[in-house]
Amino acid sequence: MIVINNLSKRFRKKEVLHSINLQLENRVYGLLGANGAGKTTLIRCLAGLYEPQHGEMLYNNEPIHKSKSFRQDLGYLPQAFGMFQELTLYEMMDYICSLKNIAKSKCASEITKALTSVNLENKGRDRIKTLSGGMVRRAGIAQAILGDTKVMLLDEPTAGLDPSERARFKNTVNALKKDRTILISTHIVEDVDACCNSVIVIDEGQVLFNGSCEELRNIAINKVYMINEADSDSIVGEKFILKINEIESKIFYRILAKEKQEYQSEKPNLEDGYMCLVKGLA
Amino acid sequence: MRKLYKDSLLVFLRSKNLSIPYFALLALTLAYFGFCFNNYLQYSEIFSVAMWLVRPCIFLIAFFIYCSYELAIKMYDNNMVEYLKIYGQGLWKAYGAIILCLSTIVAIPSIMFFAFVVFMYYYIDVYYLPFLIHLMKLSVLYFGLSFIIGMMLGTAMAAKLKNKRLAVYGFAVIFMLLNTTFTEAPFRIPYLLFNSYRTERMLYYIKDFLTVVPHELGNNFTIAPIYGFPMEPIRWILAVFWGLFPLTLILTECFNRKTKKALIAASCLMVLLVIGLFSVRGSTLIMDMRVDSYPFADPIYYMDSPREAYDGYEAGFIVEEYEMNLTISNELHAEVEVTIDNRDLDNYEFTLYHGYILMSVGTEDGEIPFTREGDYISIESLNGADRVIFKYYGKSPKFYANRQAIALPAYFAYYPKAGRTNIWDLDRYGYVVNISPNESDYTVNIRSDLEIFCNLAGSNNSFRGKSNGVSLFAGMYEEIAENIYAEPMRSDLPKREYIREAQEILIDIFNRLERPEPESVILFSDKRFFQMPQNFSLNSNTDDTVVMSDHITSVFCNNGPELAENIMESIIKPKANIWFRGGYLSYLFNRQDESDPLVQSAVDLNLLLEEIDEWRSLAGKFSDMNGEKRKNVSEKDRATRIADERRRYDINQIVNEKAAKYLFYESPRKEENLRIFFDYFTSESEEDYLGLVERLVREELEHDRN
Repeated sequence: MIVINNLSKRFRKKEVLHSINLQLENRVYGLLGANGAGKTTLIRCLAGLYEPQHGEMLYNNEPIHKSKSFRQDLGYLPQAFGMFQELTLYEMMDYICSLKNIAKSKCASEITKALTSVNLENKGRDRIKTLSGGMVRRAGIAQAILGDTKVMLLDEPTAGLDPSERARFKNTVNALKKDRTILISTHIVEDVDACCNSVIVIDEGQVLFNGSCEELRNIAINKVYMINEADSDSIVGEKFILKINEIESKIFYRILAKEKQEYQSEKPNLEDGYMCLVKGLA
Repeated sequence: MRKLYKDSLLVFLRSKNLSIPYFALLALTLAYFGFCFNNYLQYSEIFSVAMWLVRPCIFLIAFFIYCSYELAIKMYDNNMVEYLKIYGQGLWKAYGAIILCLSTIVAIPSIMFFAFVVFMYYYIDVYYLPFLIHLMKLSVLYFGLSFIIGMMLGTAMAAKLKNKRLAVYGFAVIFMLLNTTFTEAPFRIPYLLFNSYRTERMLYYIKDFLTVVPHELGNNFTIAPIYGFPMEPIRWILAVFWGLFPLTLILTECFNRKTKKALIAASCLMVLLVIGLFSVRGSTLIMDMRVDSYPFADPIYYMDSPREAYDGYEAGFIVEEYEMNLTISNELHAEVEVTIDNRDLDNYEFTLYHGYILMSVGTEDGEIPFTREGDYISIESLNGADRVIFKYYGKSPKFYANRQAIALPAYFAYYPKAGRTNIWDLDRYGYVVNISPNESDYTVNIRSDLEIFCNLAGSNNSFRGKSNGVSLFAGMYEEIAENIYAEPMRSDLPKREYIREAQEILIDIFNRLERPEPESVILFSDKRFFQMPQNFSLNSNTDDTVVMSDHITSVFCNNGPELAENIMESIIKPKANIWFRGGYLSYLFNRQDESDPLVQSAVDLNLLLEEIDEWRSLAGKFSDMNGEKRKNVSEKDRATRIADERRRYDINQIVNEKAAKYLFYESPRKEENLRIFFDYFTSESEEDYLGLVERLVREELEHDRN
């Protein structure tokens, strides 16, 4: 279990993380937040790439920066991921096995297992430069799980992937989530909905929400309305237009409203809950 | 680690932008070896081959900067660094593997160079072990460590500058240029602007700190075989520094803040330490166009100093005994005790080259006050003592003494000499041969790692004997025959038969002159003969051959006649223009070129007298011209002055060559003229030689008219 207490990180005068408190257990967490909210900084702090100014991060009650087991258990996929283009996928995995100090005798089985997990078992002999962007991302996950890692930090893993690769990614995460703590940073709410048990919403360096997907959705109950364009002025109180749809030549707004309206409310989705939080409509 | 190393090597080999140039380089290197070998077959000069071999060194270093940067930067180009860092010391392991891989890449050409120099050594068939050791050290330092420096710099630039290729290659180009003679022109600009050499010296200080090649590209100076390529301890220290310093920069990228701080502190300390050591590097042999380079340092120093003339200066005392305790490490450290014959003087003057810093002067009772003014030491009173102890250290740009080689001829004031004597002769452009007319007892003990050769008897760097000077030589230097000491790697080695032949020629010459042989010539073939480094004559016209009471130093000894002439040149006083003296000697030794138009045509004596007058008139204009006045001449007068000087230079050669040709070749009284001028050259007469020429020519004209 990972415990984060009162974590703060500042870059010069700018405070990027502000007193973060979290507890991460063996499940898949979606770390949601707008660009610049502090998601990557939080993940990098956890990965040991940044040293925070305040607070502590514990892994099984041991400070992360001193914990050897955390280093062994950690798998990390950065936002921008790449590998030596000149090596084959198998050679690259072998290279990472060496870096992770995985015993030579176990390397082959670990690589096969990791590549199978991400559906790349047939690509082992291919050079990295011949793989598609999605395959490289999956290879990134494969390198993260090499050595049977227990903690996986995935920073924007679906950025730049086409829908089919994103779907494949979600399947991969679902296949891996057993007995692992997986933290997926993203600003794509659908991804979280598809594969995360819990959601952490972060905005301007602060945790706005930490709970299940259902709980996040529930925040938007009775706050989501689908109204005709002509009726949009009749909304009482603060509102936020989520979507504009055209149905049978008529324009409809999907609106978030802070106060209860006279219209029939819609069933909220995760994005509605998230927007409620970040727009201060909760 | 083996796996990481293997994969890094695979990355290198599979990268076309790295492997293709690398294999092309190996092929080019082999072709270049062929060129060097062919050079040896043509000229049989091993040092020339070695110089060709080291010339492209900077290109190889630059190539390894490129290779290492482009290999290491792949981690950044492929966004690998971030995740490599999170594995326990992952980034360092990745860098370690890259460095190991690059070491292999670098080792192959290094081994090729090493193998080639060893092959050349055995091919030339000299079997002089110090030379083999020198070549091996050369390979390790300049074909090994220098390549590693290139590799480390490239890797460090990848770690620090990351993808900023323009900056990386900009630095690489600057680094390359600093290892060539390209800097000569830009480094001279501060002098041209501000008329001061200080900035130039500072720039060269920085350049030297970055120099990682033995012989810069574009440097046309030859390598002295006694010294070989520069491999003083500071060169090794710099090479190790430039290997380790980039490593600390790489490590700072790989570790966390605490270790990073410790590494930065360590690298700062390392920089300070190396700068400190570099500042006290002592005696080195600098051969380029800078003002401190040995061909220029002394000429410029003495040109800028006020002219002093101490010819005929009487010291008032004689040094009866020298006890010299010398330590030759990075430079000369000396404690010299002199015993003098006269305790009653009010003032004692000594000459010691200004490059030696005098720490103290004392007697047995303690230190005594002294004043130092350039090359001269003045001591007011010895308080009745007859022994003076001088403690000093320092160096000369030309007469080096360090861990690599020693060349300290007896006529150079590297130890205190009685009285005031000039060190440099501005008129003749050369070192004044300062030999004591009296012999002294010498006890010389030298602490040095080198085997030193001396004109005195002794062994294990301790020598004792009576002479009028002590010469010390060491380095790639040997006793090649009994009492003949030379640089074994030179092709023009002296031989005993040349020396004997020279003596016979000189005896014939003195018979022809009907003059007794001077003491220095009698039995000179039995004296110890020391061959001086060939490039010593680069900046001096005066000390090619010097005959001392028990030994001879000579730059050239290719044959008997040449040596005989050189010895005669050292006997006659430098009282005439170089063209005239040269002419005198060539006619005396019947060495004139019969095909020379001057020799074939008759001299018009009246025209000669007119030209002598013109020369005198032009010379009169510049008699008081010195460096300071030269600088202050107005623009208007400058053109006239330049034209006059050009004419004076032209007419100078014409007048002197014609005069010598007529008097010593064409004249019916040539034998008598040769005698007259021999007497003139060996006398103390201060008569102007052109006056004597004029007188003899007029006498002959008179004689012809009558």
